[in-house]
Amino acid sequence: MPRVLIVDDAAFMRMMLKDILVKNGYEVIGEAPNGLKAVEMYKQEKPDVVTMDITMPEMDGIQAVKEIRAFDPNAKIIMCSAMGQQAMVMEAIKSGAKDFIVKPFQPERVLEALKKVLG
Amino acid sequence: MDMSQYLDIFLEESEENIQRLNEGLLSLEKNPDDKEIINSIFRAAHTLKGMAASMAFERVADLTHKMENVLDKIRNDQLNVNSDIITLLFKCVDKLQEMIENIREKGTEDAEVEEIIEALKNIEKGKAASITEKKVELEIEFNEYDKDIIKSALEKNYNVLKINVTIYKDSILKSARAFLVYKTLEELGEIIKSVPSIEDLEQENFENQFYLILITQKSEKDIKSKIEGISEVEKVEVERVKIKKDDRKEETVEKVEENKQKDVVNTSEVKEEDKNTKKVSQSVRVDLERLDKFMNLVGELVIHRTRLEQISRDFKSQELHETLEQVGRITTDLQDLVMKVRMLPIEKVFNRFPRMVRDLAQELGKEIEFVMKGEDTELDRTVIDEIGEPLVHLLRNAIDHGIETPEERIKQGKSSKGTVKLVAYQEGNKAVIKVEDDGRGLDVNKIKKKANQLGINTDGMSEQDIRNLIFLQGFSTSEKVTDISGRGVGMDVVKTKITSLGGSIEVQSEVGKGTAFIIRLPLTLSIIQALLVKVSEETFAISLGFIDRVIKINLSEIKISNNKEVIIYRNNVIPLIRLSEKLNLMEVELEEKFCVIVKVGEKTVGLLVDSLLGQQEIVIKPLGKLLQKQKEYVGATILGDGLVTLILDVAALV
Repeated sequence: MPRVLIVDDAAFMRMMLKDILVKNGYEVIGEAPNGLKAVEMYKQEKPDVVTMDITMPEMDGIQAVKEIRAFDPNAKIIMCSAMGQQAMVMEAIKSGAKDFIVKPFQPERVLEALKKVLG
Repeated sequence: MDMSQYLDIFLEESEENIQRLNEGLLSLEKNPDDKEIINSIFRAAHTLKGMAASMAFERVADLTHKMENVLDKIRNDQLNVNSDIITLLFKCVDKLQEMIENIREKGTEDAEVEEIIEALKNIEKGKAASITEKKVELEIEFNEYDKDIIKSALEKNYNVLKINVTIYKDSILKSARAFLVYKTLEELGEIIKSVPSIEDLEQENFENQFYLILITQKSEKDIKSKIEGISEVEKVEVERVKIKKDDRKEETVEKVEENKQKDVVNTSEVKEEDKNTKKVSQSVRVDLERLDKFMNLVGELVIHRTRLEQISRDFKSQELHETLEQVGRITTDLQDLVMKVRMLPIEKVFNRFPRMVRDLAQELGKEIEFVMKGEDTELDRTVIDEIGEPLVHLLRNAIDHGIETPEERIKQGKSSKGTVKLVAYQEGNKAVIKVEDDGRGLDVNKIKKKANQLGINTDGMSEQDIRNLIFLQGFSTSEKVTDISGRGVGMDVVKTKITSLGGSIEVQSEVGKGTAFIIRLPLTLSIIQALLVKVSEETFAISLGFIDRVIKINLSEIKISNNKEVIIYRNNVIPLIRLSEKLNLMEVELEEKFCVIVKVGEKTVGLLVDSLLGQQEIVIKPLGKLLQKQKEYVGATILGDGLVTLILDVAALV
């Protein structure tokens, strides 16, 4: 069962994602409300994949991607973006994010992205 | 059932359909996915097949049938259009043309079609099995720089791959998605081109599909699976890019593909059907001979009207005069009408050029955009019949000498694609045809040098005068003689031909910018302005188109040079032809005679005549069968007083 870390500052979004993932055979090993916490949890838990929101307090998603990738160059991170965050998504991709999903989440798209990133 | 009565119409319609095939294939090459074009090609082949089968021309029927099969495959997306297929189909059309010609001349098809039919079968069989998906709409055009990179990459055994990515139609943040693909590929090799451009991709100026050209050491499969590992990617196609050594045309083969969603919706299908019903203008086919006869009769009517008018003046009858005026108006209308009936759109000549230009451009490795305008400009059919050859010459020159090679053009900051324009329009009672290119232009210095070699003194000549030297016999500045043009038999022949049609040609050019040849032609040839002259007891007509000037000379001014009679006029030595001698007439002893100086191409000759009768509009009527071999005359006319006058063929005399 693939282990997932969900990062989002909105509990609502985390809950939604978690629902989708759990129903489809993923194990959510942790939830982080900001980038700082995310990096910390990644180092502890070494999840198979991270879903990463972009705009967050403390540390934004892009910075978190950079730090996680610095720690683990093979880290698999999927960005969670809202419409209109084109430039930031590209920035995240440049920093090493593997894929992205767009809010509002469509379960099949989320699952597709996870499946593909995990190969 | 005797079918021979239908032969004429069969031949005529066959040619029309062959022309349609040619045109269709040319546009198909540009828009390989246009269903309407394929349909129209298909229809032309189908019509041809039906007619040929009815006429029992089995080989034509067989060949068109096989073409139909291939076209049908293309139409149903079972076969992709590529340049091989187009070239083969062109060959088929050539073969059909050949067979139709043979039928016209010998009554039998008389041609080998087995080989070509075999090739068609192979295409039909070979590729139909493996290629099923419709070709994507985007086309990649490689410039010379890209081609160089691709070539050297191929030489170093890298793979050059064309990667066509389709993402979900409803994908959000498409440009970020494209960027993700781009980024992924960048890690696997070097991206040398993207269609649409990176900028357009970033600004989301694309539907849901794009191409990238990647130079990589990875295999097609690796690349494909990497891209498929990105979410919201609907389809990935990877093809190898190959560049042919000889014609540098890129071709793609070896498709590796797989589709998750084959139901690419084809909603445009229905709309396209509507366009099929083109408006057909109502017309009647008339045998040309009948038209010529009609024209002749009208000409005769005009002549007799003139005679009647003369008589009516002598009788001074008011009633007769008024009636004659009516008759006059009607005959003028009639004359206009029949002239218009004889007119044909120049399209008839133009429509074979796109194919020719394509072939030439390929042969010479040049990129050419061929633009035709004013194909509907109408000219007398005599002109139409004759103008083709000079135009071919000018176009060949433009492509061969005018347009530079793509490399050279890029070096000069031009686009690699040269433009050749063929434009026709009406200007007053003349038709103008322009052949324009945006190539290297005429190099005045080169022409000067050549002129000096030929012993022509160019001192004091204006640049325009120097440019006009290219119309001289034996003049070609091209350093190398190619297959296509440059043998020095060019421009003077063109000029002579155009002059003999009563037209004129001029050249405009700017170095580095291009060259334009402007041809002016009379709309009709059957009525001309002529100078009537008297030689001995006979009256002759000379077309004003040839006449440069007329001078009065004293016989003592005639000099002998190289055993030939010449006159010296304004420091020019002009050969003299005594018409009385040439036409075996009695020489009239006069102290002063007239010399009509005529120009044919670049040749200037003086024609010695006894007296001048004046200028008049005359109707050219062909000579009867008995006199047809008289090459000194182009025809005859009847003057207002009923006198039959021969019209001199100046071009044949000098």
